[in-house]
Amino acid sequence: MKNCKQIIKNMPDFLAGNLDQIEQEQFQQHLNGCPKCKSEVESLSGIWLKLETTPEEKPDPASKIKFKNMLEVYKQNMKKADHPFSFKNYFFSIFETWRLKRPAFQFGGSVILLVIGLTIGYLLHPVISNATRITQLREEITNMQQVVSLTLLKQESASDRLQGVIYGSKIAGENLDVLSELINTLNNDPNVNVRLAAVNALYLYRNNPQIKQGLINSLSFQEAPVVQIALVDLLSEIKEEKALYALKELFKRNHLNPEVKKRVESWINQLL
Amino acid sequence: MNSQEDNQLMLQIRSGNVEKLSILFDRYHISVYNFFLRLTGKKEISEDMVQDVFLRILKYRHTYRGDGKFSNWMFHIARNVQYDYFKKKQRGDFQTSEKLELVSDNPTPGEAVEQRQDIQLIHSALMKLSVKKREVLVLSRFQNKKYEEIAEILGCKVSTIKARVFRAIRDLRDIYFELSGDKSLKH
Repeated sequence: MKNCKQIIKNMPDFLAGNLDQIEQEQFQQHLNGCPKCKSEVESLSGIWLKLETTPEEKPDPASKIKFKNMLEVYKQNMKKADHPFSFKNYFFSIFETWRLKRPAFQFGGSVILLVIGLTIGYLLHPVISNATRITQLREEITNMQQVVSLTLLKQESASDRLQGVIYGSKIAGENLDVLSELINTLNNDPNVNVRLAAVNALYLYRNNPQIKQGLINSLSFQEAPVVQIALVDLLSEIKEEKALYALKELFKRNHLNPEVKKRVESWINQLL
Repeated sequence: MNSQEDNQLMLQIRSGNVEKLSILFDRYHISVYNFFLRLTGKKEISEDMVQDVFLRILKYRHTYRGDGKFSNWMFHIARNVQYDYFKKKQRGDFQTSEKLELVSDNPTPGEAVEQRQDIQLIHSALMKLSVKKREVLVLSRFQNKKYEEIAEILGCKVSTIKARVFRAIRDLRDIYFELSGDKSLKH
């Protein structure tokens, strides 16, 4: 036998028809003896049934078209998300099409590509040893220094030419181009200081046959006593017949500076 | 409707065959529409909410586990859609008229005017219930969901649902008689 509290608790199941036969009988038994619960159940059942009578409404037929459109848009977005276009993907898709599937073929393909790469590399870039590279670099630097020196010697400014002479003496080495230009400067430069600097610069190369000859020949071109003295001192160290002849020729020159004449005489006497 | 078949369709959708959703839409869109219509009382909004439900099905298809009824999972989504709607409504995001559009104004042939008025009255009373109470009645009476299923959809205990159903039907009765002016059936 159920009490009123249990009836209320079972009401939702009673309305929904979920009570089994025994529960249903106990429920009904209580209602027969309880007018309050009976009235409550009747009124609630009435409303419960009223809800059932309400008809189902139909949505606008356009909603199906709307759904189809939405689904289509979603499918397109799915495709874009799954396969976003990029050059990377495009490249890999081509690669995927052409790539060799079996590992043995993949290995063979790799070896062939390696050999092709090495051959092309060998043909395009002949093997150059480090020593050769260093020599090449040295040559390039020397050429550059030579260009700088020759350029300086041709400048209008005497100080620039003086710099050229000093720089040329440092880098000349066995470079005949620079040495010839220094001889040329000694013979023709209008500035006495530049010519004097050229004498000093060529001192180091006095034993070079060509330079030696150039220095001997230069003595006849020099007019400035200071340059004549410097050149006489240099030639006296060469101690050769040609140099002695040049000194003698200078000694014979008219209007020669007495100091120079005295110096030349002294050297001639020593060399004889 | 065959729930096993629904489940298979939804699993296919989950795998990427989204076209299959058309079949589920044809099966359920009227049912979902009526669920929303009885909760909101607005036809146009209910139609939009139906679209939202099926869009969310696509969006969250990866979360479908397939271990329950598809329709319960779908109504769980529908319930979230209506929850968002009422949240926005409270914020004032929707400007809608107060006129309810639950049933057609014109009676169908053979339907008595008095009967039509009674249906409109019960709908009006339903709309005066709180959303929480209304949704349990809608799911139970209109969607024929068992209390266990409603508990699954709403994420509650079955006992909570039964207690809510009882309070809802009692309140509905009181509101109904209040609106009709007929208190003879009220104890």
